[in-house]
Amino acid sequence: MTDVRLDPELLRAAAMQPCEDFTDPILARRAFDRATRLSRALRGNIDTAGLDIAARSIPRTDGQTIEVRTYSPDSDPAVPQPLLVYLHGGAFVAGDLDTEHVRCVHLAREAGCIVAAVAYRLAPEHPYPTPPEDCMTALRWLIGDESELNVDRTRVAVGGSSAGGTLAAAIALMARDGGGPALALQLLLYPVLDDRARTHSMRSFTDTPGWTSQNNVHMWRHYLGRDHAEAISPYAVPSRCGDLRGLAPAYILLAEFDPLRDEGISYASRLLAAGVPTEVHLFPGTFHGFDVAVPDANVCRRAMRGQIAALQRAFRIPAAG
Amino acid sequence: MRTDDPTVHKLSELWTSLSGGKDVRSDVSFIDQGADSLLLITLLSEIESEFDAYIEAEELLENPTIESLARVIERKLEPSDARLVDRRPHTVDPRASP
Repeated sequence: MTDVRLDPELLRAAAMQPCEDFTDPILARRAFDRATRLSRALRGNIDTAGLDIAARSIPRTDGQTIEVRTYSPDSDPAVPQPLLVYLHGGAFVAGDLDTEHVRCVHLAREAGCIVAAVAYRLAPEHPYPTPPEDCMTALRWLIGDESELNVDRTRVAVGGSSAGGTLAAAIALMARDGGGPALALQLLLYPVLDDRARTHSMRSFTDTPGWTSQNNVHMWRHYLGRDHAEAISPYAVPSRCGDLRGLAPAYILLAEFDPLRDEGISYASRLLAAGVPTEVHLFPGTFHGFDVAVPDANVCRRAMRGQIAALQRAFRIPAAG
Repeated sequence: MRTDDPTVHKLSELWTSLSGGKDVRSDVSFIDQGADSLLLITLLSEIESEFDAYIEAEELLENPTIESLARVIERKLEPSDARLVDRRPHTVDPRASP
């Protein structure tokens, strides 16, 4: 086991990270969602002034709907606005619109763009390809006339944390290969990118707070299903894509003591080699999900400022102050 | 504190070791004794392994003291026996159930 030297401000939260076991996805989902509801009940009201937060139901082709929450800053209704579609984490088996509510509020208010969180369907009931298909359906609907959001289609980004980062990277690949939309940014926060478990961090971090290599194995099994030995699509596993040329510019945030760290570094370096503008930040002394666990810590504030600045650059929004 | 109640006693011990508190009260809410969501999530995990009882977020929020949470835990541990009694044919006519 590698010596884990955490940022002092993160120590308490790291020690208390629930060591959920993702062997059974339904039990893991129950514990994950319970933690989300407890956090929401105890965090008090967050400042949402200046935002219109709305629930929307997006039609699916089978007649059901995809639930979406939009966060729209006050703006001139005549001026089209930039949009970030944000995808929550939860190992593909857990999470909902509340999982990343706080981050979505911050990004919308401080970057000054519309944020739309998508409740894509979850594995194991809905393994790949349903989750990225739901996200793409939502994205195309949100930028269309039907949403009445007045989105500036030249300023659309996709982002996500953890398994949501997989989906964001997959959307960037699907958009490049399948007729758009053109994306201004892929915002990948400690993303899940590779199922092959070949990296040093994935092999060594068996006991790290927030995420472990064992749970990573369970996660991929739930998402890919059992019979996935051959021909895994890069839309399921972005690192398996052989050609990353022409993808949307990337902002990649990584945590030092995260099994996913090295696959993030590898993806970033392959994007750069393919000529994709890529900004990478590896925050020292952090763990998977650190910024959600301790949002007020200095390192988390720095991480948040970086995400806001990346969005503002991608959307050509002048930074405040 | 009611030390004669084994569930209350065990839960008090759990809470004391988690909170590091000296002045643990069984009739004051965990939140008023300084708990945040991280601590409560840990408490629920510990309860699960100690008592083999799964407590929902809402059950904890509605029963936020050692005393009231002990009752919730006890109710969760009871039903298997109660159901056995109810299933006896001479006490319950299955046709009468909805």
